[in-house]
Amino acid sequence: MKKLLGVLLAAALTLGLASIAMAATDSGTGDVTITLEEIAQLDVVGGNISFTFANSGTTAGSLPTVSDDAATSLSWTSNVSANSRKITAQLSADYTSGIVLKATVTKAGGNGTSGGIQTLEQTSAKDMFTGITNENVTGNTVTYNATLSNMIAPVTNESKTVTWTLLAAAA
Amino acid sequence: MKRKFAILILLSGLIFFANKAEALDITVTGSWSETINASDLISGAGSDLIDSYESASNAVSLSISGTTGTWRIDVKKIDTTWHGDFILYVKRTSDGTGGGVSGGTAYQEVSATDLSFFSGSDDVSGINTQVKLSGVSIQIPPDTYTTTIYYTVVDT
Repeated sequence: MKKLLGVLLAAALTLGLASIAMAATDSGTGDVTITLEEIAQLDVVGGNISFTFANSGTTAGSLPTVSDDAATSLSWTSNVSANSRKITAQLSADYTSGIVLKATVTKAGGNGTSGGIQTLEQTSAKDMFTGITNENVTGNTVTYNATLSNMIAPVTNESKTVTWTLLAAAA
Repeated sequence: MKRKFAILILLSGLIFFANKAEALDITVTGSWSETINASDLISGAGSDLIDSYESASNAVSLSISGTTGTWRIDVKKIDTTWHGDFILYVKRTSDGTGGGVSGGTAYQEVSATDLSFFSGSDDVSGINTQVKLSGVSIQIPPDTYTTTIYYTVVDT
């Protein structure tokens, strides 16, 4: 009987002390979820430009020429999870046959590579800058070059739009 | 008879204290979700993302009950999918109702190790807390990142 009472007391004591020890803390949780979306933002800085192939300054026997325009620049911000991105340029419509517009992008920063001088067309977008990854860069100069491939009849206000696009490299 | 009565009193006392100690409880209500996109660029194309983001000041509410006097709240986090550039902070933004609380009103970093957050006495309900994230940049790949903050009440 005494032994039984001793065992019961020991069990009760252990249960009590264990409960006291376990009850000293309690925890609760709150989740934090951050969704970081893909970002592809491109700005064309500089507005409209114009070229005039004028009579004055033209040498007889030679095609008229105009100076390059480097007043436009590109700024972009990109984050990617896998493949890098590229920037393309495309005309809204082709110029009169004989008028050739070319462009090139000079790298100011970032990880990408300039696609060099490209002849802009309506039929296809040209890769002007490739290998863009996680970066934000400004001041990438666009140099436009307009030439005549042959003498054409006078044209005025032949305005086209160049569309610059930042997109996935696989596109 | 006297021996049996003494044993009964002893058992009753142990049971009473055991039940009393098991009642300490913390209830955590709320969470924080934040979506970061192009609208969070500092100044449009060419700029980086804003570095820091804060939850609402009452995003997470804590209620402490079953206390026997003074207590302390520890805080830590366990990451599920997280980025090494992220730094998470918490701070207390209200005193709640009942009892008393002190400390924790300035942002402190939450790590994987329990650190003291704030302390108090007696039962207190509706203690508001706020969460802040820093270290966001364009260098972090797009994804959904999650972690869980653990708030632990410790009897002191």
